[in-house]
Amino acid sequence: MEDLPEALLTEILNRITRTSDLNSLSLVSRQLYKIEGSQRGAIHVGSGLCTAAKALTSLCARFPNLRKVEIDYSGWIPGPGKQLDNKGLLVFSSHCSSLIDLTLSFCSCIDDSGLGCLANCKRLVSLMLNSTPQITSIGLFSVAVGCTSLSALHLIDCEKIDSVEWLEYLGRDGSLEEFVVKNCKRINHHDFLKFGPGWMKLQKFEFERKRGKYDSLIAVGVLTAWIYMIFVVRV
Amino acid sequence: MATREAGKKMIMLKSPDGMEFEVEEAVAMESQTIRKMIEDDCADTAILIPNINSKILSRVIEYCNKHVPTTGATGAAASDTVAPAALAEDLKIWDAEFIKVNRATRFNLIQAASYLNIKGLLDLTSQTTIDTISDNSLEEIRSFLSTKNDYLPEEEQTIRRENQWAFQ
Repeated sequence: MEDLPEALLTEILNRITRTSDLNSLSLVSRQLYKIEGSQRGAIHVGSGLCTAAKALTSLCARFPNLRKVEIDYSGWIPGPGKQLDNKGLLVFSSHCSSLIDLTLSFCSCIDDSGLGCLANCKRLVSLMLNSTPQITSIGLFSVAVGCTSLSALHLIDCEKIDSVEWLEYLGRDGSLEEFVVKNCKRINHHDFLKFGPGWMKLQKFEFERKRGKYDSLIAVGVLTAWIYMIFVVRV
Repeated sequence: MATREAGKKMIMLKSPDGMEFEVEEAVAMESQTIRKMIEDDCADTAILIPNINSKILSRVIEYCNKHVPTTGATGAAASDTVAPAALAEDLKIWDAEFIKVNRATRFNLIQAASYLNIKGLLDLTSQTTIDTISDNSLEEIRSFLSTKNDYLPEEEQTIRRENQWAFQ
């Protein structure tokens, strides 16, 4: 590589978007492995992921600057392999200090203690939980308290989330700008009253429930009432 | 050596091997590096472009000449007769021909584009390199980057495995 300086090579690698190309490069030589690893900002892992702590640690060491991680077990067929569990999430959260965007989809082995590890991720800006059946309000409360930079939260098909202390906390001390709740059957429209002052900072809000029109109409009603109140309070 | 020729301000660029190129200021200013020198009034005499030999510099000037925005009397006439889309298409074809060079020249062009800060040329040369990486086998990429495989077989196996399970 004597004729192309590392800085330029890095710049070129930075422009590559296809994962398969990046993967080929990692196999070319140690130098490229190192440059490519330090440049990689996002990974998407899933069913094939080797969840042994050692393997995860080496993965995190290979990509020290990950900003976006998506763990997706959709279509998972139970077999000899294991899904990523709380310990695995601890590895990610403690090694990826630049993590700002995390998506957990269909991760049935992660519960509140795993989610609690995310309190390590002080830079986490966006969290999406999609069909994570074991997560309850307790886990969300630790995220609300620990992840002080959180500005986008998506909860989709999370059945066990019920009580709303976390919502109250996020509304009072959080800085959510984007908040999406879909098909979480134990969260209903009344709960959003607890979000209180949080509405003032919110820029995007979506709420959907499977039951039908009636609910969403009331949700809109609640929202309108809040916007009105905010307006009156401000004036 | 800023001289005037047919109303256009000229700039003298010198390569380290002693060649001098007289170019229009607008063309030279396609390079943000040179633009800054001109704006800072450091371009009274010839500008020495270090590390870029005359062969590469002349190619870079050729690129800038083609890509300088056509403004003024001649430019207006050109855009009256040729649609912008057709012009862009024409440039693309020209670029594709321009970049058909050997590996060493291309690397030199990347370095020159980077040093002179010519975004279009850097985009073009980098993208061509990325295409080469996408289209070729591991061995071909190695020879293209003139680098050697310095992995132990078992290390290579580990990375292959990691690549497989972590990226879908």
